[in-house]
Amino acid sequence: MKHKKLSLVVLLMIALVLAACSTKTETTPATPSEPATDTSKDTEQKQEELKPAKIIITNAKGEIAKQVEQAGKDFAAANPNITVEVYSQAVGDSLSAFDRLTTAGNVVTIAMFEPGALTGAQKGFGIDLSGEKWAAETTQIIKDGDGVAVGFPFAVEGFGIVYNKTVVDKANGGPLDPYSINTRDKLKELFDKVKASGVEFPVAYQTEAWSVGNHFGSLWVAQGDPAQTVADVQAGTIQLKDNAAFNGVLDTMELLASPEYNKFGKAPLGKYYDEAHLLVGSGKSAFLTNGNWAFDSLKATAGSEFGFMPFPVDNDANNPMNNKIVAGPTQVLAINKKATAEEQAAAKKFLEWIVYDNAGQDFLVNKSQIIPAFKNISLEVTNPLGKAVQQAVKDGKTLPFTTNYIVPGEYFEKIGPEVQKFLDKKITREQLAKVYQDYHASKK
Amino acid sequence: MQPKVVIKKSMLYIVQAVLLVIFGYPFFLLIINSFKSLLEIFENPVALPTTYSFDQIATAFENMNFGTTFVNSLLITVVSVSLILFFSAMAAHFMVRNDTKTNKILFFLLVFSMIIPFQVVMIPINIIYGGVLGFFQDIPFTILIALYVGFGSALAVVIYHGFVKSIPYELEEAAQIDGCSRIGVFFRIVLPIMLPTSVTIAILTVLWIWNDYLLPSLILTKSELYTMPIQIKVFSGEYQNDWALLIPAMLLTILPVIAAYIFGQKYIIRGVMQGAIK
Amino acid sequence: MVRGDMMQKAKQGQLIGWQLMFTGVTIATFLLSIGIPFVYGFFLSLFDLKSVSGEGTFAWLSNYGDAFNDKAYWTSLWITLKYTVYTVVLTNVLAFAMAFLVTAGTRGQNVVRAAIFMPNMIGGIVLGYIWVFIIGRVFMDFGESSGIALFQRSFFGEPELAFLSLVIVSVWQQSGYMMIVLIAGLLNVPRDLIEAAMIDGAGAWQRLRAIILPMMVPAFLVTLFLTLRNSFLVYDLNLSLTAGDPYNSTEFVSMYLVNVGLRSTGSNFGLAQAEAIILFVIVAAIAWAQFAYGKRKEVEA
Repeated sequence: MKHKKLSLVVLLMIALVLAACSTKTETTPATPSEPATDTSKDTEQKQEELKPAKIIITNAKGEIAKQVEQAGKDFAAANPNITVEVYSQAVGDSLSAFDRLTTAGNVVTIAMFEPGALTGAQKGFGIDLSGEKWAAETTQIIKDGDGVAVGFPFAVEGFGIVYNKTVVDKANGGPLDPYSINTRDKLKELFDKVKASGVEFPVAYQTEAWSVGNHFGSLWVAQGDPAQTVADVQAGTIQLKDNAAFNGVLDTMELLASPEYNKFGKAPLGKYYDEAHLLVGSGKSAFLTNGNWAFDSLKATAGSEFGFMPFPVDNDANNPMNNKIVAGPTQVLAINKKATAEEQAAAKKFLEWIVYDNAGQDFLVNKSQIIPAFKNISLEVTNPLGKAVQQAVKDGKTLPFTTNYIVPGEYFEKIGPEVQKFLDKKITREQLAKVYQDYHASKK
Repeated sequence: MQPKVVIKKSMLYIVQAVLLVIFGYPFFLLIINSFKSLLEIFENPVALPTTYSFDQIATAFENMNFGTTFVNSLLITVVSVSLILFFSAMAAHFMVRNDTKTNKILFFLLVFSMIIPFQVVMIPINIIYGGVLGFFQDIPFTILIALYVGFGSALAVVIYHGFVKSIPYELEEAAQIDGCSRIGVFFRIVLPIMLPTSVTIAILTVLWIWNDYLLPSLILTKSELYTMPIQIKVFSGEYQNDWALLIPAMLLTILPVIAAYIFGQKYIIRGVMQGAIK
Repeated sequence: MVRGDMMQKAKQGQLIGWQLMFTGVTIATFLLSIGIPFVYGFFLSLFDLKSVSGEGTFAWLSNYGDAFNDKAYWTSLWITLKYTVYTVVLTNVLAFAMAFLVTAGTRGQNVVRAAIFMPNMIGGIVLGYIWVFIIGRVFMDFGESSGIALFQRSFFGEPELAFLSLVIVSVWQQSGYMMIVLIAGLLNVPRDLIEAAMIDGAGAWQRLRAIILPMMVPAFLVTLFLTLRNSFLVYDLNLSLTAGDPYNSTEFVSMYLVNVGLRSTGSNFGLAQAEAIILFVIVAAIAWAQFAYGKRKEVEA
């Protein structure tokens, strides 16, 4: 039975039951009708430009909510026929803005997704964008599960070990090349140096589920071709409990969490995000794990400089994983197939506006501090962590963005808590490996 | 006074002072930390601020769109509560004076509905009014208020119902003989007598709607429609527990409530007492 | 005869008119908020529905079968139950003790009473964040300066302590309200009865057991009902204080249902609804038991 029909049947039944009770009911406001349509769409005005349309944008990056909202307004001001509604995701909210809107029956025109969503949960969501003008300016366009280019690469991001340059350079006795820390022992040595320079706890390790789950908990997929590695784990040809890279990631996590270096070592789990960033920002600690987006939290106490270093997984200085940081497109914009032709045209125009319009570029790079994935955009971010990522991309010192090869939402929900248990010594390494292995096996 | 009584009295005062600290201190902390920078907050969260700067409060005020948010909350609460009071009073009065089978069933259904957890109707509400009918995007405030009236009617009708029973029917009969119509009787005689009960119900309902989060968070997804609790939830995520902003934002959120409480304390506490006895 | 019939018909028609006029809005909004969603929800629970706009397939009672096998659901129910027991007992005991304290006749007791009630003016979301600050920052700061081991531990990082935090804050929030209700009950105990008992030489404990407690059963039934309901269905405070951390160990049943029931992908709304209905059955059973117990007590008294 079709679902919509069912709800009508129920409404009818209730009306009947009540009539039988000899009570006449007023028609409730809930009289079934077609989903309301925007009447403004029906205006017959024929214009050379775009027809009037309303586009709904969901922004998954809560930290730039204000900027995206402003961009929507600016774009709408430049295109009087188009109205824009922006919905932003609250950081750390388990329900996405997209889910909230969609379960409430809205047709989101432009949705911001993590790339993995396009091959997974949102497969078939987007329209083909390969013919768009901007497609020639980027190599990072994301294809969905059916191989259609649907993802406009909105943001390039990177993550690794964030360090306070002022503190570390001082301990080092001179500027340190972050890429020279390419083994775990060298990292440990550096911790000791910083400790010797008077910093009691060099590391402020915040272990929130998304960080140790979808981000650093997925690092092992970069040991070879990421998609192939995931497939091998799924098939069981890679057994994670015996896998060097997987165990190496956990070893480094344990090093970061150890009470010897970690400010929170005695109780490694907790709401530490704010404190960790304040400690590293103010120079009371020197290292934490996060991505370029962390700068907003660090700059709460401005003045210091920050950089990235690789997250080493073993003591082999030639292992590429020890010499590169993770970077790649993390958020893509996709246009909904279910939107009307007018809405889709307006949405395409918005994407073009971001890439080619001065105001759009300004919004992306200057205002939102997002590292662009487009060759034609020459603006550079000023945020030091963003700069470090942009530089790594230029120098080719990047690993694929590992989170794109797993399902981040599920990692957050199912894997993250287990890694936390491991760091809290509630489960063993073997048990954790089994959780991973079973999870991937269940995706067959 | 006997020494024993003195000891007993001073013990009483000490325990009361401890209670005062336990229940008041969190709010005190909120006030003092609203004036501090993030670094100061982290250095010593319980110390008094060295300088009283209103910068953080001003920034929070602006970032949380205080004016709009406050008006949204106020509008939703005032309209919902007024409608609940008015229509529940009418319904309860009619139901007491016309003890028909229909009204018995209706009363039972209303009482029964009080034990239904919101989560049971949450998904259906989301699907029917949000998904199928599109009310959430077209008429967000209207549907929210209508839903509130529906959820709030049960308690209001039950309390009014108990009260109307205690009004002597002779009073209304006398008025009717004097030529008052049925509607006239309700407005001129019954409604004024019900005033104290209405205050009780209003207080209970205001406390609920003003602070409610889950239902409005499903409907009011656009930032200019946020109510205070939604705004604080979003704010805390957006600024990743940047306490120097979140604390003043929370202070701003509770200030109006505390102000209302200080002025209406007597009525509020009495209202809760009456509401409980019903 | 015929005329009488007509009169009656006319009268009945009039009555329906009045009925609609006086109760129409209440009936309509009741149907809107509860009637229709409740009935529809039951139908929904018989369907496999993966997306709101998509088509559902009729699944008989399989969702209920899946619900019974959903371990995460029952785990969340179990911890919610545990939390409810702690919160209800502690809140009522504390509220009762405080009700005595603030009616002892000291000067300034009204101020104390007002302060104790204050947390009820503020919703769970804001209170939760206030306590995140107090527990996450002030407790830790206190632990560092005092050296007390308990406060050096991470309250949001250990399941037991996160659970404890929720209990503490809930009791802190609710006990003021319950105190007021119990004061109302206390005022209903006739003073002369207590004085008579005192003259008869009854000690404080005896007076409490023989007179005050039995007279206060109705008030306790109210506070019990309210605390049970508030605790068992808690959501706001859960969301803002722990959000289920660490590793979902404090994800109570309301939060669980919100998390599975409002996701556009990967959720089966039918299953979530079936789980919500099971929750309703449990709540209804508790309410009914309480009601029956209250009736019996009333008859005894």
